[in-house]
Parts: sequence; structure tokens; C-alpha cells
Amino acid sequence: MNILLLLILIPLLGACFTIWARDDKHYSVENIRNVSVWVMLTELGAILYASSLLNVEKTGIQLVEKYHWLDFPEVDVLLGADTFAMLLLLGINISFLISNMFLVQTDRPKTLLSSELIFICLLNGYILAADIISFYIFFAAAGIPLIILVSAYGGLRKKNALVRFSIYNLVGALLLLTAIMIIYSYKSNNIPLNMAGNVNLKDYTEYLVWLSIFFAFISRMPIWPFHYWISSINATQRNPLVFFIGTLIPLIGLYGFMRFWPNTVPQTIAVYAPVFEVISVITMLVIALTGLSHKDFRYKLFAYATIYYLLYLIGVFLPTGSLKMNIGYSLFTSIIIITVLSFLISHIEEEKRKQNLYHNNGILCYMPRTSVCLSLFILAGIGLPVTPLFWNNFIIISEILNYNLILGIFVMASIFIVAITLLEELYKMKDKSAAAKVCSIEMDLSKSEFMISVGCLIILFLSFIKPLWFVF
Amino acid sequence: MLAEIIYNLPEIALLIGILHIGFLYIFGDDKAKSYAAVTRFWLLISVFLEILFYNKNSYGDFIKKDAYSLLFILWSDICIYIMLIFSPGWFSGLKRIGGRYNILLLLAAGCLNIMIKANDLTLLLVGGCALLIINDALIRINYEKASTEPAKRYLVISCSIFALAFVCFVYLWYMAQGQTEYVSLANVISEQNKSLTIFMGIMGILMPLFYALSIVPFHMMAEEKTSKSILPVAQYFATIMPIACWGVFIRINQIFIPTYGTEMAFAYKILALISVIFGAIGASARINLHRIFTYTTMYHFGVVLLLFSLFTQEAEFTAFIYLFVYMIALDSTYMIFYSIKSHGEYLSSVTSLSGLAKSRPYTSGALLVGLFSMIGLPPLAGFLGQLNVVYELIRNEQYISLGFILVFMLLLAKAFLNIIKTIYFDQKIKLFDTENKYVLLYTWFGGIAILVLMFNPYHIIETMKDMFYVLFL
Repeated sequence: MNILLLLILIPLLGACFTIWARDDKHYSVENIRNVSVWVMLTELGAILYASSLLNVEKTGIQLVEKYHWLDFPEVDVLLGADTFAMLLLLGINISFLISNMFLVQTDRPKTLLSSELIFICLLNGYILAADIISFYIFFAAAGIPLIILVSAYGGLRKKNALVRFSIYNLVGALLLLTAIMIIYSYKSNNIPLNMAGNVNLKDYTEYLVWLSIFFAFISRMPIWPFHYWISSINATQRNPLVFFIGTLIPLIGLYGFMRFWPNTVPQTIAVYAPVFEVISVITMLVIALTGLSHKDFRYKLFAYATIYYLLYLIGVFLPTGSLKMNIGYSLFTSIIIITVLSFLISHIEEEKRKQNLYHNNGILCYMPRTSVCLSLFILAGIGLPVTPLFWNNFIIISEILNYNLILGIFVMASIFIVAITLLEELYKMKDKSAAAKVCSIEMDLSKSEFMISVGCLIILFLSFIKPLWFVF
Repeated sequence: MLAEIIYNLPEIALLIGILHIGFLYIFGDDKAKSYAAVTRFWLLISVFLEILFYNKNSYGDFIKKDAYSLLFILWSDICIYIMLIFSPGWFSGLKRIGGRYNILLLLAAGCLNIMIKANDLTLLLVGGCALLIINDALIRINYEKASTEPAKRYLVISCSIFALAFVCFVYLWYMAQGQTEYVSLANVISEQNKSLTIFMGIMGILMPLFYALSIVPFHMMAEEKTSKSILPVAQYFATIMPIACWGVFIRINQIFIPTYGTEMAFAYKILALISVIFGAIGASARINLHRIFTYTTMYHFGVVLLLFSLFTQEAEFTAFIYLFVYMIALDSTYMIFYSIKSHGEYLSSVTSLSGLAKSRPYTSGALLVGLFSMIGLPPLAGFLGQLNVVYELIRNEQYISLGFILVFMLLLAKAFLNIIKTIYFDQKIKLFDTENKYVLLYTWFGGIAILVLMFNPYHIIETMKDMFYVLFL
């Protein structure tokens, strides 16, 4: 059974169903949402089945599937997964399922959910790609649904954001294409991702290839000089699902580094890792401080997500290959936390808008369920020791401190600042003395939404006890 | 004699089509649909006969029918057929029957078929001259009684270029002692010492093709051909003419490669890179859609010519693939032009598309697919071409040319982003007419073709490869 291909095709089929779903004025959102929820449930079932086929003791790519695509130039598409890829796949797909369940009312539901499902299809493909050409295809293609989403749901500056976003994406894609085709031309065949570093490139070609790959992935991450475009898209984003998808853009860059950097990058290039680490840590600090000074809670969440991605990136750059699974466990948790927080913030903002409130102060006093969920998820996000985030971040930071004390101190300072930022916001929202009098208890999360949030907490707790709970 | 007539039935079918249109006119049929249906019918018959007698040669060495010529004839005729599905709507809107257009189109199809099959420089030149007259007549179709200046300019410039080509032809004919058949000419050229005059003669022969393909600096009429003509004629100049001209160019190119390959490679590369630069800059500076796509074509044809400068079989086939996927995207974009109307008027400026996405989401989606394919984004067919081009240039160590192409690709992408911005973000300023369901259906068919080609290109590319490589036998 071609299970990996199925994992890519299920969301694509779902997108087709969504596009052709009945567009009734009253039931449209519900119809389309139901389709997407069922698609994601099926997808999760398929992921769990694929996970059951994995041998967690083995390292390297498993469940390899090969498809002949082209003869000129000769290209066989390879799909494959390891435990890390499956963990990431599960985290992302659970998050999208949660997002779809949370989604109640939205503009243009067809555009939103069909683009979301196409994005999931491409992201799954990107994670499962095991050769350089299919890796590139999914890398570049993932930009298309994002362009559609930015066009449809962008904020006030969406025109400029779209141009910047598209050009950066295209620059990154063209750089990666050039690099992989140079690697390809040396072997005259499509080669597996983990073999890319074994190609003996000439001196200057080696630099050209690896710098192109580096900049291609960096273009998807909010690192200087590419930091502005992602924040310009995300900071003004009101739709929680689009916001969440926006926070996954850096994951594409991070995953690219994870696939290429630790094992495949040649030593001549690996010596420059400290330079990248310094750039990353400076960006971390700047974003943390910007998040602290910003008033918008969503921007603070964006800063949180970015800082954690950069932390994992520094982990990838470290000259140790042992952190991969820790990064995986931590990523799995943080993605789910960001999803739930994004929807909780949207709920609060929506209620604030309905009540004509100018600020969030004390709003949680009238939303007991929301208050419980938000408090628990913020605490989990900053390292409450009931989720894998605590334990694995501890190991990653320890390794960074062990590698370079100053670097580690800066990383810890950034994480500390972003934790303060979230706690400050939580405190403000729980401070009854500053609450507006017009609030009512009806503003709270519905029971079903509360149950979804609790379900997510249970998943996180399970992952803390047994990180690979889904492999049986 | 009978065999010769039978083998020329494809062209005869087209002539019968013209007579049939004449009868329709005499009997007073006033529906544009009927004229287009008759044209399509005879075109299909011609295509069928072309397939049937694809390797049956006639008239000695003048004509060389093979799988290669069939490939280009099929391609251009299918594009004409698709165009004939859309054009009746355009003519009906103006309460015209489009008889002249249909007749000229059949004549042009015949001329192009002969030029693709030509195995002799004399026949090629005669076909080219006939096509010049037909094209001029097509440009003159203008029901708004607008200025005929573009048509006059087209005639003057085209005649000048053909005159120059004729001088070069006479020189080569004199040098080859009257032998103008391709292989004989190639042999004669290879026996001669290399000289600048022969090289200039060769370039002179190729000049009308560069002119038809809008390769810079022979792009004088490129913009006007498409922007000043009526929509069906603009589509003809944008899609059908280039396909046939590339078919001719690739074949004629083979004659001169063995002797003048190095010199021609240099000249091609210069022309290609200038076209890439002009195309990208021009596209980002224009606001008329036809002009934007003319410059886009200039960019892409620059890339195709760059691949021909490598003079390897693989590079030539890569160029063909690139051309094929680009022309599919361009053709589907031209289909969209038929569905963008306001108060019966076909819109062509970018600003007039403001807010199109809000009222016509499917048309906008199809346009988006076409535009993304043209810049080579996966998972669209354009990527297939881009992948091949990048690979071929890297394989031949053409890093600087590759850099040029990619940098100017970004400029081209910016031009497309301006279109997308206008469609999706700007406020609607026009009330768009209801889309014709058939036009929409075909438009989406084009979009889906772009997607499907990317997912399973193996069989179609393999078939085309077999047909294309006949050229090198």
C-alpha cells in the first residue's frame, strides 16, 4: 500500500471536495468545515497507520516509495519517512484538525479551507520528500496557497505584503532550484536528500550550492535580512487559521535545514555555522524585545513562535547530531500550543469587538473556561513541566550552553523575555481591577471548544509521559 | 500523379474549406458560428489526413514529411482549432460573420503547414511571402474603422525584412549553384571556406524568422501585432505563428550548425540575452495585457533561443519542452481574455481588471494558474520547462546566462504580481459581463491541462521526444 502517497493525496482530495461543496448561503461554512474536519480525521488515521509501520529503533528513512516521473532529465520521485518526520507530520495535522474544529464563522470559507487543505497536502509532501527534486517541488509549491491566503485575508498592508512575500519566496525557490540542479548534474540523476553532501563539488561550486541552499531556507525564516515580510503578514492577520498557517512558514525553512544541515553539509561549509548562530541569536533577541514592546497579543504570539523556531535552528547548527529528536518532540508540542493559543486569542478579540471594548484588561474574569485554557497553554508554552516542551527545550538549551556560554545566555535571555511578554499579557487579562464593567459571562468558550482545548492538553501530557505514544 | 494529389490532401482539404465558406456566404448564412464550424470541420479533416499521410512525400525534395513536421503541424492546428471555438463569440458580439477571418486562417494554416514541411529554401521563401500577405490582411481586419497605420507599418517593415532575406537567399543560391534543398545546401556550405559573407547570408535567411518570433532587435512590430489587432488575430499572432515559426527555425537551423555552429552560437546567445532583458523590462513597464504578454513571450523566446545556442540535441529538445509548456499557459491565458468583458467590450488594460476576483473568482483562478505556470512555479506545467532549462544550462556550464534568466524572471514575476494585485485587491471599477459557460469550461480545461501535464508528463513527453528526434536522423 502506498501509504505515504496517500498522506499527500488525502488533503488534495479534500480540497477538491471543498471547492465543489454545496455553496448554500446558510450552510456553506458548516458544509465545508465538516468536509475539512473529516478529511483531517482520515488523514490522522492514515498517519497513525503509517506510524505503526515504522521501526523506531532504526535511524534513517523508512517506508520508502519510488515513483517514476520523468525520463528527460531522469527523475524518480522518492518518498520516505523517519520517526522525526512522522512526529512532525502528526503535530501539524493534529493542529490543522484542531483549527478546523475551532473554526466557526469566516469570510470566503471555500477559499480558506481549500487553500488550507492544499497547503497541508504540500507541507506533507515536503516533509515526506526523500529526494532533492521532489523536496524542491514541495518547497516551492507550498508558497502558492500562502499567496492566495495572503491575498484573500491579508490586513491593511496586504498589497505590499503580497509582493514582498512572493518575491522572497521566488528568490528562495530559484536559489534552491539552481543548487539542486547543480547537485543533480554532478550525478546525472536524482539523488536522495541524505546523499546531497556526498557529491564532490568543485571549490567555488560547493560554496555556490550550499550558500544557495542556505539562503533558500533562510528566505522562509524571519531572520535578518528576511525578517520583515513574515511579520508584515502575520502581525496584521485577524483570521486565526491564516495566522497559524503563517506561523508554519518558518517551519518550512527550519525543516529544510534539518534535512540538509546535520548530516549532509560538507565540512568546508559547516565551519561557518557560528556566523549563522550569531545572526540567529541577534534576531531572536530583537524579536523578543519587539514582542515585549508591542501591544498586540497576536504579535506577541508571533514573536513567541519565531523565537522557538530560531532556538531549534541554533540547535540544528550545533556540531552535535543528537538533538534531532528533542527538536522534534519540542516542535510537536509548540505547534499544538501555538494553534490553540491562536484560536483562544481570536475568540477573545472577537468577543472584545462584539462588546465594543477598547482593551483586554480583565476580560478573562468573565470567561472562566477561556481563562483556564489560556493560562494552562501559556504556562505550557513557556515551559511548565507537564509537556515535552519543558524537557526537550531544557536539553537543547543545555547543549547550546555547553557549546558556547555567551550564545546560551543570549538564547535564554530571549526565551525569558518572550515568557515575560506572554505572562504580562495573561496577567492584564486576568486583572479584574482593570476590567470593563460591560462584560458578560456569555462571552466564554463553548463547551465543545473547551473540550477540544482539554483534549489538546491531554495529548501534550501523553507526549510528556511517552513521546512516541502514536507508534504502536 | 494521383499519389501526389492524395499526399497533398491535407492542403487540398483546407482549400475546400475556403470554397465551403464561400458557398455559405453566397447562400446568405449570417451566423459566425456556422463559418467557424465549417472552418473547424475542414481543419479537422486536414489534420486527420496529415496524420494519415505523415510520411508520404511528394514533389521530390521540396517537401519532407516526417514525425517532426507532424508534431508541429498538429500542435499549431490544434491551437487554431481552439481559437476557432472562441472567435465566433467575438464576431457575434459585433454582429459580424467573420468569413474573411476564417478564410485567412485556413490559408495561413496551409502556408504554415507547407513551411514546416518545406525541405527547400525556395519553397520556404515562397511560403513566407504568401504568409506575409495573409498576415497583412489579418491585421487589416478592423471593424472599428480605426487607423490602418499599424497595418501599413507591418507591411513596410515585413517587406523590408523579406527583401533583405531575399538578397541573402540569392547570394546563397548563387554560391550553391542553384541547389536550395536543405541537405545539398548544407553540403555546399560545409565545402566552402568560412567567410563573413556566408555567415551574414545565413543570418539574413534566419532574419524573417527572428522577426516573426519577436527576437530583439527584430521586435519592431511585436507590440502592435497583438495590441492593435482584434482579439482573434492577436491570439493568432501570439500563439499560432510562433509555434509554426519555431518548427521552421529548428529544422533550418540544422543546415548551418556543422559549419557555422560556433559563430551562430555566439550570435544566438547575444540575441537571446537581449530578448530576455527587453522582455522582462518591457513586461513590467506595460499596462496593456496584450503588450505584457508580448513581452513575456519575448523573454521566454529568449530563453528558447539561448538553448538553441548550445547546439546539442538534448538542449534543442529541452527548448521544445520549454516552448510547449509556455505556449499551453499562453494559450489558456488568451482563452481567459475572451471571458473578460464589460458591456460587450473585451477588456485589455490591467486597470480594467480591478476587482475581477470578487465577481469572477473562477476566471481569476484560471488566470492565476496560467501566470504561475509562466514563471515556472511547481506544481504547474511551467516548472517542467524551467527544470529542464536550468538543468541544461548547468550541464553546459552556462552559469552567467542562467543567472541572467533567473534575475530577469524575478522582474517578470513582479509584472505578473501587479496583475494579481489589481485583480484581487483593487476596487471594482467596471461591471463585468456574465461569463460564457463554454468559455469558462475551456478556460478551466486549459488550467487543468497545465496541472495534469505536470503530474504525469512521462507519456506525452516521451511521445513528443520520439517525434522530435526524427529531426536528427
